Amino acid sequence: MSDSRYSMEPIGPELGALISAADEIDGPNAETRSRLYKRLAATLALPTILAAPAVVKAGGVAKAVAAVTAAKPVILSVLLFSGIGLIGYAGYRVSNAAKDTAPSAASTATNPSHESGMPQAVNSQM
Amino acid sequence: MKSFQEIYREEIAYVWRCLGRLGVDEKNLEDKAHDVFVIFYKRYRDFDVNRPVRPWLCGIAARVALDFNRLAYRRREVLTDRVEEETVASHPEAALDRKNAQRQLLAALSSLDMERRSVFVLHDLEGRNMREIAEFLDVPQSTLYSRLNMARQQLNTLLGRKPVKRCGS
Repeated sequence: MSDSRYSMEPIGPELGALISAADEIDGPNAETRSRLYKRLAATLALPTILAAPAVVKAGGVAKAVAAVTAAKPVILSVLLFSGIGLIGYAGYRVSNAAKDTAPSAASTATNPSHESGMPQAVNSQM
Repeated sequence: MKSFQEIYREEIAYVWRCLGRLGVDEKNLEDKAHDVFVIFYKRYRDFDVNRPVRPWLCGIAARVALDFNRLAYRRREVLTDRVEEETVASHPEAALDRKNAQRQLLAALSSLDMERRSVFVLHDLEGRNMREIAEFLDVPQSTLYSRLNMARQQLNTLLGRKPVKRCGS
């Protein structure tokens, strides 16, 4: 990398050790990254979509919270329609149960032919 | 071709580190990183996609940092003096762990003037070659070699007189 025409001071052991020990890239935290991207998006008229990946990267809990937050309207809609469906179904079952029991009681009370054991049509001809 | 968002996500940490090493203090890092990416975005369409993006970002960061340091020279001098004191005093058992090493490296870099610091950071820390650095900084290569030589001498002397492992003792 260096030009052999120039005689260079070598990197000493202390400096070399310090350089290798410090050779990591930390960068800004997720919040700063996200804030900076929003600033850039505002300056350059870019879509502001970087915030979500930055939050999701933060960890499992943050990921779950982000997923639930994103899916909240869907979850609420599903719950609402499930509730309406259940209430409707329950109403349907109740009304069917009422229909099943009501005719037999009425017919027992008004039609004595049940007691004679004859068919209703025959009974009415007599 | 990667989108701007992808490049930002992948390279923000690198740009951040370059700027920090080139003398931009912590409270101004966000503003200067913003400047780097704005310049990058404006020239992105002319960029040859077959070339790596990092040297280019490094060059932009170097120019942004130099401009910043020229404007804020006096303030920076005061701040970096404080950093060195803090490094020695509040970390008496400083081993070569990463955080301490980064602090110590920054403190050592702050002893260099900006011209030497830039070439040392770009060449010895960020691994850029002299031809690139000459383009970034618009300075002849012979001058850069001379500056690098003096920067190394100065840092070797500084760290040799106060070796890293005995920094806090």
